[in-house]
Amino acid sequence: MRKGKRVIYTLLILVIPLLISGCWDRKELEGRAIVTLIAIDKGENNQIKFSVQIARTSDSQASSNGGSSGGEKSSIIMSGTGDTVFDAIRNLILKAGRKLYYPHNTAIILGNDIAREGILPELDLFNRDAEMRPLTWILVTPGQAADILEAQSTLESLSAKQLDMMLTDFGASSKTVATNLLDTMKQLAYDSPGAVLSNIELDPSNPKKTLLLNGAAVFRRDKLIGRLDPLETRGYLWVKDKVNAGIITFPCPGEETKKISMEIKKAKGKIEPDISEGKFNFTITVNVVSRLAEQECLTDLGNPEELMKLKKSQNEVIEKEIRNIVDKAQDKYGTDILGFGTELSRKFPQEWQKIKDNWTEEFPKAEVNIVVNSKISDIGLVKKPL
Amino acid sequence: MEKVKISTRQFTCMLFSLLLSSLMFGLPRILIEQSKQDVWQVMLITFVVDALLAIVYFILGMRYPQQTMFEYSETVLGPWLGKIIGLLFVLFFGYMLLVTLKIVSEFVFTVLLTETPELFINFILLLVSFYAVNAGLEVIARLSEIVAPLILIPLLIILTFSLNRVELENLRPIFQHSIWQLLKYSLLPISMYGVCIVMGIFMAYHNKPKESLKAKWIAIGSVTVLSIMTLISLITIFGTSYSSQQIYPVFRLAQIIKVGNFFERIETLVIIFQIAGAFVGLVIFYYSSVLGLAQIFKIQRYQTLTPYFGVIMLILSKFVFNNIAERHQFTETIFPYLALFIEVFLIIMLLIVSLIRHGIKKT
Repeated sequence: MRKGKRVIYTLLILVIPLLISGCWDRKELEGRAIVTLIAIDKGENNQIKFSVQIARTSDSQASSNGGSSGGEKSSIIMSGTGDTVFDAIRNLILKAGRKLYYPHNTAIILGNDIAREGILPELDLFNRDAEMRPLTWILVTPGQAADILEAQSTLESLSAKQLDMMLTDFGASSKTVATNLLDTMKQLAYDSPGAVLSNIELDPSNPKKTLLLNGAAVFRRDKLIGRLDPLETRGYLWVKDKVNAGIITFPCPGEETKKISMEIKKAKGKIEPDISEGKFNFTITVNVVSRLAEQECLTDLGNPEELMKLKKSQNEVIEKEIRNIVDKAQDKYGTDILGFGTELSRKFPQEWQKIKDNWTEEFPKAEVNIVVNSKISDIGLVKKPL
Repeated sequence: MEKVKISTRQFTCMLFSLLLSSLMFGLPRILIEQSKQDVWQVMLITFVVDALLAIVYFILGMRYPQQTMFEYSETVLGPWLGKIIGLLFVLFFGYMLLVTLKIVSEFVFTVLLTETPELFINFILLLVSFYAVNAGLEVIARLSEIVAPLILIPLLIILTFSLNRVELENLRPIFQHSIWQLLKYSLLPISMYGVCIVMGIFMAYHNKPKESLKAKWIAIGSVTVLSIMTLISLITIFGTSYSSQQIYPVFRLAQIIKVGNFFERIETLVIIFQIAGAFVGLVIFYYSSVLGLAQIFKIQRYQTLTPYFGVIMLILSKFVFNNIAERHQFTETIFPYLALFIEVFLIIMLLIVSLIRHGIKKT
């Protein structure tokens, strides 16, 4: 009896590993092609052109190209077409052979044509499928998205890695936005009027194709309607309280040809909505702490009176940056990209219910005040220039 | 009657893991979709209502010591009516078992094992629960003592490490719903909390039945605190629109955790606690159903029934809902009334009849 039991247990233990290895869903690394970048364009006949950058694993490098080194590229680009994004993805397997593996994808780049027609239909798959991750960057390019995949990487071995680092460190200049899939979906949530996404281009000043993050792309609902230049983008970031660092330049007091650089140390922005006599007023308040980082002129700026002047000029510069983007949003695009409506709905929920359907007409008429308070914290190691 | 005893801590752990795991799956999306930023008020209402209901279960359990709900419904209502009511309870537990099974296998099928047939996942889950149920209540109680921290710790890790993405402005506007709307929205969470009627079974085996009420209050109190914390982080991080779009918002929350460049992709934690928690749920519902059947039909050992019941559940799991959308619609529209009928109406009726037949003074 005891012996029989022991045999049964041994057999059971031997059978269990067969069950827990996951026979149906095993994924062998050799059978996978790791996708690092995705580009979506409009193809012919209203189809979707879906291009991917696939990292070359050492195994596939050796087998395809007998150990050649130096000029060997570290990635492969492939593209397929289909009626929908997923159709195109599956058609791609006909060319790739291996099943593409998406969880390590860094970014999704959307071509100009597809962005103008609306990006929500294209992004649905990435939001729905469990293999796609919500922290994937979403970028828009003015040309064909597939061209961005061809870009050369400079310091990193993969352009995808480089793009990731560029976007992670965007705050150093605060002249572009970095939006991942989650941010994008949040911006495009049900009743939102528009969105601002990062804009990527091939650097025109470099004949070898390299990447350049250039300003931002503006969407009405989910359709691309225009672009912001780097300084307008910073205006947007001031309002959205997303400025972390960056350089503000303006002429020296007294010497118009020479410039001063102020380094932003800390910034805080907020929007205060108000309703008076049926009119909407918004007050944008920005508090900045900066330091004198560089001066080209030879004036002694290291005294309180001069710093007061610097503070004033800095306020003016920031106010101008914000005013530019507010005017552009109200007059040129007529789209509430700055989130005034959201603030209004938070502070005046009842009024918002009444106004929300007409908000597109009301938004351009709203009055916007801008208040900038600066503080200059220090002047570096030098009291005055020689 | 089994000669088993469970301690107060085990009692608390069982209710805690049962409740928290069943709340974390699909409920956050529905709650946020309905009551938006006021969701914490809904949870508080639920807590108060369920804490009051617990008193009813407690009084019944104290009036008929050493008897489970199936036995005392016969004592109260007489053999025939009592058996019918008992069968209703069994049906309810069987239904909850099926739903829990469906919920886990759908989750595993969507996010983890996309190629594995759902029936096979159900089979494995039922097989393991079968083993635990046959081992008896003491094993189930010890199991939930292990599982409770397995649910709590991953959840706390997720909530802590997602704090860097919190945007508190998303919490406004609050108080946008009237009290009637809130009460209406709290029907569903109350019916979910109501699965604690299993208390009516476990109290009979509790070594200190007087502490049952306290144990239950601690369990639902901590579950309420944790679910409010989860709901608030979902709202502050995702906003109401995005979270009411996501079928598994807690899974999404784990996906966006990125601390430094190394602490990321920790969705596995969610999978661990969802499956571990749902396993306790499965085992408890499975046990309650077969124990109920055995006590109603006066079968000496409930273990004789477990294999047949398991096979029936496996077959039913294939047919019960065609797809996830059907189940969601059922949960949102019909389930609350059905569950409240069993969990609230029947229990209160039992108490009233018992008060009339056996007098107020009976212990």
